[in-house]
Amino acid sequence: MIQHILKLIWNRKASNALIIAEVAIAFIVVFSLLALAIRNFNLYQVPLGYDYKDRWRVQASIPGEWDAERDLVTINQLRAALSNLPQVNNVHLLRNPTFKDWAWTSSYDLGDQTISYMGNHIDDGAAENFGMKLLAGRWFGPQDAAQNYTAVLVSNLFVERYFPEQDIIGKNIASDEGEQQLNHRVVGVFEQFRQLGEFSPMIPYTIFRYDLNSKESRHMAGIEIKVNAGTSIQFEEVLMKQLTSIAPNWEFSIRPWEDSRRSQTRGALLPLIVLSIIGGFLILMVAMGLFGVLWQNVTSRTQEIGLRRAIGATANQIQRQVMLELLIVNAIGIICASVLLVQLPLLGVFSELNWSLFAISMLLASVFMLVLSAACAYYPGIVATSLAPAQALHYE
Amino acid sequence: MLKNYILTAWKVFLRRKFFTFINLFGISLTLSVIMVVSTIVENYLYPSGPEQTSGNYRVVERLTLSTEGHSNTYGGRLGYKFIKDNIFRLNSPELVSINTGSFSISLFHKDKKHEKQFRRTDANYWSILKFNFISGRNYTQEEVENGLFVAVVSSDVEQSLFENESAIGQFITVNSQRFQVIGVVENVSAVERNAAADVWVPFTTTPSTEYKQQNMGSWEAILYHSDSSMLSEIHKEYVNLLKNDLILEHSDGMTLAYSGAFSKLENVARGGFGDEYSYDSNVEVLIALMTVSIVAFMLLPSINMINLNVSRILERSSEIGVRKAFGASASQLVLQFIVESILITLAGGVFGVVLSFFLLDIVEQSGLIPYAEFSFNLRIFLWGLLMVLLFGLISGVYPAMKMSRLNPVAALKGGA
Repeated sequence: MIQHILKLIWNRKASNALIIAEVAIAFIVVFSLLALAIRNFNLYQVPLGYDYKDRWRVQASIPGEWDAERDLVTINQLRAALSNLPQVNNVHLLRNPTFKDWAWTSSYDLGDQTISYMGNHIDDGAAENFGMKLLAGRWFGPQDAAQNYTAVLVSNLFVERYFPEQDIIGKNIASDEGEQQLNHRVVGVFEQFRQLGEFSPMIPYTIFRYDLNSKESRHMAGIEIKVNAGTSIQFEEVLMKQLTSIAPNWEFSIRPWEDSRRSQTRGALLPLIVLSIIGGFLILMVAMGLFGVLWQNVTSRTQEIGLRRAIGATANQIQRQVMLELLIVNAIGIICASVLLVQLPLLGVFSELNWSLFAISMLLASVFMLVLSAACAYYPGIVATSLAPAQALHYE
Repeated sequence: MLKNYILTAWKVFLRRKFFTFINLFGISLTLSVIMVVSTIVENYLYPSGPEQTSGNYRVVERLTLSTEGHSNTYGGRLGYKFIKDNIFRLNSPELVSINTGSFSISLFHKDKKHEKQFRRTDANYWSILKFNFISGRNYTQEEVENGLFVAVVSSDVEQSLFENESAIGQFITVNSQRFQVIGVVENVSAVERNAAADVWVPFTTTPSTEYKQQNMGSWEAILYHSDSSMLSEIHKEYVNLLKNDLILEHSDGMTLAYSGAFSKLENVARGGFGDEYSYDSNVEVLIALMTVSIVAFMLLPSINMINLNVSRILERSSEIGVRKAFGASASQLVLQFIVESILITLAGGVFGVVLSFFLLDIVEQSGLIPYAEFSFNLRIFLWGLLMVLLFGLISGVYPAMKMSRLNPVAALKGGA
């Protein structure tokens, strides 16, 4: 049966080649859309690792070169003043903001592996209040002040990727200044901290203890406040007055994490939505095209089909032949496209496209295209069997 | 003759309405997507608002500072000090304007918060960019030098803050600084990146003077010349200055600077594909990428249409047979089928244009690109027309050649 159909397809190779090309390109479109969608859905499923509700970021712009001795005094004053406000639950520091495309990445060589990570600084107590989850060890605290090391928290992914099956607690890792300075001591492992939001890739993360009293502390311009639930945005004006009265030379901007999250989500989803709409219409067009071509083919082969019926083929067999023909043409198209697509993970063009994502997208896209073509072949199949054999033989 | 072709085409289209519909659907969809994208790109590259003079200036947006051997690098926008020490020494531009780039601020008025875009500029800014003043005026060189607290606002600010009153003479507070409004301009589409904002004030009103010591910052410089052929000279002079005559103080031991004075398209390319340590924008890569993606996008609809047309050859074989028997040459038949296919693409093109009007309207209304107003001009229309014809030719030629090659005797009998 299959062999016979292959022969039929070969006999009409010119027009089938075009259909195969169309199917192959459509398959690539479906594959890309599915891979994008699945990847983003998977990322969205992973918890952020912190709580963004009712948390506002006060971003300060500090004029001139950072001077820890002078500027930390101001930051401590700001912290104290903000904590005293009745609407404010707690105040903490976070160097790089959440839900912004603004991050600090660093790397160093250790033995034969390159350790690269995204980093941030927070003060004592911030991790608990941000709602982060501790997996091993402890959070850092005042006991880590004035030591010969800087306390560091690392994410679970950091441990899994770079120090698997090792007890990392108490181990010293390098700072960003270079591997010779192994003075960063891991005190705890947290679940994760997805600074760049729900649609960002998973990156090993490290959080350094920010010492509010050390003269070596680096530039810090992010004050995170937790407001009481239901505090309206009008409160921002009160805050602004407080802030500028303490630090008149600094410029401030205040934004709830939720707002940043919303605009970041929109920014991440918008291209996906636009692509899906365009892709959807392209697929619809291909479906209608396949349907039309098949319909036309079946009508032009009425005599051939009549002959088959006359020598005893049932309506079901004819229907099956029409559908099988398209399915096989489709399968050839899918195979052609797969040969091209498999180069992507082989050559490692996109680091995000790993084999499991590739396999699942491939599978779903194949199923989609086969179902689509079966649906397109269904009605032409019925048309093919609708004529009585005697009529069909005479058909011109 | 042409009349006959058109008449035949019309009859063919009506005979199989479903096929006509599939063709029209594919064509209009493809064209409207291409038209929408090219309209946005066109409005970006050839702005009609304040940046209408973009053919006469180049913008320096990015700067990379690095040490010998590139072991330590800062990349980003420019600082005031770098501009003053280097860009102000250029001789070729007729006018140089600097501004801080736009950033969000909150304006409070009658207990309501308005999030707006804010920009500090010099006075030349108003000479180079042609803002459309609804009322009032821009601030002058003298006002900038004296650091007066005056502001120009967009009509959106006037409406949302002062409702029915005129904004002129009113006060707005930005980060606890009070500015008096002296001018109101029409809203500027966010596509015009160097002009867009809601509130413009003199840069000398910055609360602290520390910005004067920074090589990196958020600034950008616009270099203007009334003769557009001089613009490449400006870039050359700037690169030459960076290479041979750079002044770089307080820069953590960094001695190298990479940057360039670029056009709008070049700045996009530099941001997306440019090499950090280069003076070029790599604009060729961007253009190649755009061309490839448009061709790739048109491939699927084209093949779809070729498929449909090829499969319909048989349907028309008796007609072709008759025409051949009466002496029509292959080239005449090819011409006829190409006319047919161009006709249907033109019809699809009309739908496509209408559809893209709707789509652009949706983009404008959605607020994705603040204050966007896409003007639909002749150039885009001609581009669209060219696309339509190209599309018609691509999808028409192969089936037409196939049809014209039919054997007249077989064709008369209805076979292929």
